[in-house]
Amino acid sequence: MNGCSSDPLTKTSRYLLNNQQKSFKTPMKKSLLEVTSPIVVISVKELPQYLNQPNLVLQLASHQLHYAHAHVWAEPLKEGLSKALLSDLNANNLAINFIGEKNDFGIESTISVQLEVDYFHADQNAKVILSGRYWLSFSNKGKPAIRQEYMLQTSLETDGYLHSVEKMRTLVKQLALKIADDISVIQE
Amino acid sequence: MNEVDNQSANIRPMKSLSKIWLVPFIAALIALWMVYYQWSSQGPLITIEFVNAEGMQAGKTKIKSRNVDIGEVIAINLNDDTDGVLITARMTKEAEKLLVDDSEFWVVSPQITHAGISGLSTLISGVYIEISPGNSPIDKTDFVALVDPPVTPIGTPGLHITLNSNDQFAYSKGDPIIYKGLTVGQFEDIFFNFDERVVYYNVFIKAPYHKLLTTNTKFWDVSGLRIDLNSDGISMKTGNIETLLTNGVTFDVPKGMPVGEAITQRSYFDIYANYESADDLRYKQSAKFVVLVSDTIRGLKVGAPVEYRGVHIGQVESTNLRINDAPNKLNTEDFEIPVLISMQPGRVGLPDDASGVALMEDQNKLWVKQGLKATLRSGNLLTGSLFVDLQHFNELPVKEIEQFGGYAVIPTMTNEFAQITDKAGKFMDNLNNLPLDKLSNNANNLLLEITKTANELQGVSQSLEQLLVDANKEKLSEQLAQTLQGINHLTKDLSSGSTGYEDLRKTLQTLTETMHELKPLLNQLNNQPNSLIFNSGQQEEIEPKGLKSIKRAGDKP
Repeated sequence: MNGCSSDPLTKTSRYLLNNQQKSFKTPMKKSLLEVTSPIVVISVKELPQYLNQPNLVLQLASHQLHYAHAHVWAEPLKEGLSKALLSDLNANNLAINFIGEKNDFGIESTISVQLEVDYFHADQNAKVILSGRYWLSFSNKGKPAIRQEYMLQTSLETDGYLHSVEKMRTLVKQLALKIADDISVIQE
Repeated sequence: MNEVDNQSANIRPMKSLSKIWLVPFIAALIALWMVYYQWSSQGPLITIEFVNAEGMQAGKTKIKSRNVDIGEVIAINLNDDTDGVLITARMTKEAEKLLVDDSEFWVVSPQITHAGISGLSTLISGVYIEISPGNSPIDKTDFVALVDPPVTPIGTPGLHITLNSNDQFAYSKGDPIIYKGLTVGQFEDIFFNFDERVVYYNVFIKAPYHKLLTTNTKFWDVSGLRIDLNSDGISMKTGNIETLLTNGVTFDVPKGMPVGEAITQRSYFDIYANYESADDLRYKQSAKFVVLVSDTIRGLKVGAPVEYRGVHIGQVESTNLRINDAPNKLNTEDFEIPVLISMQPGRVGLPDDASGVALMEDQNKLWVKQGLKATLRSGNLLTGSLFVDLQHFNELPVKEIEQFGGYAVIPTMTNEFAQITDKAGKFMDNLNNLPLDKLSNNANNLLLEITKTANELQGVSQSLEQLLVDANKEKLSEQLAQTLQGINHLTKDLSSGSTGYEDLRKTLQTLTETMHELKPLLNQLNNQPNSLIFNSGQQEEIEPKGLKSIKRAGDKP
């Protein structure tokens, strides 16, 4: 009987990258339909294959990854990343309207940001990394596009996937600040 | 004193001649010997008469034979009549035998002719006199020089013959005689016989080619490039490369003719315009007929072939025969042009004599009665040259043979072109005779009726079309509206935001989520397929380590 009984089902934890409470701040800013404000379209390119799946990823060694069995993303990471980034950008830059590429309101964008992610995970050395590159291009063809490499990392204070997700969220916040800085530079 | 007186002188006889005189005596003897030697070794003194003494100098100009000095000019004087120059020359003793009656002298000087360049060495050394020794047994010391060097040296083996021509050929000295492309002789000199008004050419054929000359040999002209454009087409002929630039004559025995007897002494031959002319003359006998032509004879020339079913059996002798007994009156009808033709029995294998001619005449007369007709045909469309063609037309026999000027007449048929034009004329006449006016009137009426009918038909079809349009319009538009409405409903159902679309999207989303949840399970099964059935011991989940844990682990011993 004992042999034939199945294992007790492992409890699965589901995570959201974006912080819902902070995103509620976005309706407080100006309306997106105010076309006088610059419109920046954020589009996240397809994530690497190892991130394009529900399991959270932990780097065990230099070239070894581990997919968590019981810790999964509640939504595709690409969507979570896009939402978190938009939330941070809109919260911190009231003079600019940031929209996702799926939000087609028929408004022509002033600047478009193409984000590409290479690595976005925690490792066994108590670190969380976010790296890749993004391109800033103008709808005005006269100006050249800008490419920026980024490599962000932070430390994990405590154990567990939940904490690692919180740290991943802080890295997204840092990335949002970096993008906002570059946009403000090229607008001058 | 007496002793002195009594003493007698001893008189000794003295020598009358001193020995010293021997020296001049011997010298005189030597001189005499030298004079004798000179006199005895020198050759004869000769005189040669030239037209002028251009380039010659006394004491300098040599007389040579085969480039060996055999004499020297010692004096140059005008002759008694002052119309020439008399050269006095001393010959060597060895040259004495060369001075015979037919020996020839001439001056060698630089010459450029079509045959080549000669005497170039005299440009430096000066002119000299060349002798061509003769064969005569009679000695001679007074000579008349040739104006030009002889073409053929005396004694050259071969045969001298004479050609004549009353045609307008212009051969000159040195022009070649060709035999099958080889130069076998040349023209030596030319003279014109005023009485006969004929040009005679002395020609030398060198050995061994002179053996080719027989009594049946014919000579013909091969000057330059000959292009024949006749009823047989275009042909180009030449003797050899030399005759392309100069004139020339070739010879041969015409094909099929016996070779004849060999010629051993000077003979006379005619020069013909071409091989065909030379060949034609092999047939001596011919039967003559008259053809009365009612078509044009432009293009029909004397010498044009007469063919019987394509076999060359004769030629045209005259294209407009004149007869003495022509009636001195006006012709009431058109004049048929009499063309005299000759047919050689030798060409068709009959004997080339009177019997052959008689047989050929009888044969042709018989055929004429049975329907033999002569037709002028075009031998060459380019040149328009004509020939006489004899053909049998059995359906047109003749009862009695006509005579014209003493010759039997072969009836004629109009030529091909005339036949075609005749038929074309008849066709046009028939065309003219057609009642086209009536036909066109009828056709006009018919067309009017057809137009009227067509108009009526058009009206009917318009009415019918309108009827059909009216009948279909309501039904069709109703169906169309229903179809469009259906499409509209369908589009609405499937458009973004519609219920159908939302349902579809939700279904897909649910499916994606389900797959999302199934993925960890699938991974577990992939790693441990029996984990659902057997308790393999739950492995602890590897979790990220924080700095505190790492520090704590580092503190442990």
